[in-house]
Amino acid sequence: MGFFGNLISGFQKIVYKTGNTLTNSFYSVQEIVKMREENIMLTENVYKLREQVRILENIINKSEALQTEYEMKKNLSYDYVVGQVIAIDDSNWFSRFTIDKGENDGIKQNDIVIQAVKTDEGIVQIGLIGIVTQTSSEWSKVITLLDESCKVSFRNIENDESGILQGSIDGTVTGYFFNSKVFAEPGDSLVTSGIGEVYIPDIYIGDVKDVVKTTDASTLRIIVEPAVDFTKINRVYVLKK
Amino acid sequence: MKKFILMSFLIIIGFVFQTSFMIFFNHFKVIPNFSLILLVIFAIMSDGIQGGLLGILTGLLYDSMIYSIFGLYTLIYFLIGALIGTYSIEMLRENKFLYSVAAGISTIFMHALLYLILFFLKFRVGLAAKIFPNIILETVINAVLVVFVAKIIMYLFDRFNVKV
Repeated sequence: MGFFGNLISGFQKIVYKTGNTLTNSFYSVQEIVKMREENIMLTENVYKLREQVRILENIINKSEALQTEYEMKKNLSYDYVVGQVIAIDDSNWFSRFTIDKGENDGIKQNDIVIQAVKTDEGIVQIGLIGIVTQTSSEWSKVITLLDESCKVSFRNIENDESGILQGSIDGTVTGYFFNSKVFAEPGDSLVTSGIGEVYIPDIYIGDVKDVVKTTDASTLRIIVEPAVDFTKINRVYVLKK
Repeated sequence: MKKFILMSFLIIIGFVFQTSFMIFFNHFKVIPNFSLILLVIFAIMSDGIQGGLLGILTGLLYDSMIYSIFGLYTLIYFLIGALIGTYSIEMLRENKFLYSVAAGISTIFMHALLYLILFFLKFRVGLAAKIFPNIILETVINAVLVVFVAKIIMYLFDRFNVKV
């Protein structure tokens, strides 16, 4: 009986262990299937949350831009029209674009095109984009500060000296001071001087990026970092003069 | 006539696509010139007169909508369209390599003419050396893309029962 009992119990042990292993395996398989489903669900949730984050970030970015525009509008003493860029020159030689507002909205040739610019110090300023060169009833052509044919008289607010800036084919803005003995430092802020009565005075152009001596060493050539990011021009303000 | 109208329509669509959509890819500094690509394809498919007329249409769109120097692009695109149209041979129209070569040469020709005209307009073209790598890259991109665009155009012409 003892032997038989041992045999049976041994057999029971084996069967139980087998059953237990099989059950465990079955539960493991079930668990894997469940985990896979959970994984899919969690991945979907991650995607949904990422999408929500992207939407919220977009709203935050937009609200910052709108806040900047609002600050600029408060300080704007000129009558203006808001224009949407509808076409941009794609060549390497020019820097021009077309906006969806024209003569019917009161835009005339030589009107100034600006954008709200937030400086590193967090101050909102009017940043110069360029000038209207041609108008139609419903649209206008604008040349930007980067274009070779755009010349702007500027004033260095650090030393109150004036000069001329010009864009170029390679997209850099360079300029000279009228007074050849004047010195400028990188970081000096430049605004429109109003000389020539084309540009309204005191519109922020940008900062001096570099100062280079010319070959004859009698004058200084300044390289300017424009305040406006010309790769992100979308909505612009046209000041009616 | 149906072929010319369809080509003109596609030139206008191409212009809008180029100036209002492709600019979003401007972060790469170089974008393909779809207006030029379309002009090259259509000029190869037609003769000198039609090629020249399509070139004038392309150039007029650019000159009137974006640039203030009227006639600059009209002249350049007219020359490209007329020259390719005149020298295109019907036998070679199926050869995709021809499209590639024509698009590459046209891109370089366009920039060379621009350089020359802007030189006489007293632009500081000496600075053009800095944009030279961009022009080379644009030439390569145009030469590659023209093959795919040509296939799409052939398909469209087939759908509209227009003889190439």
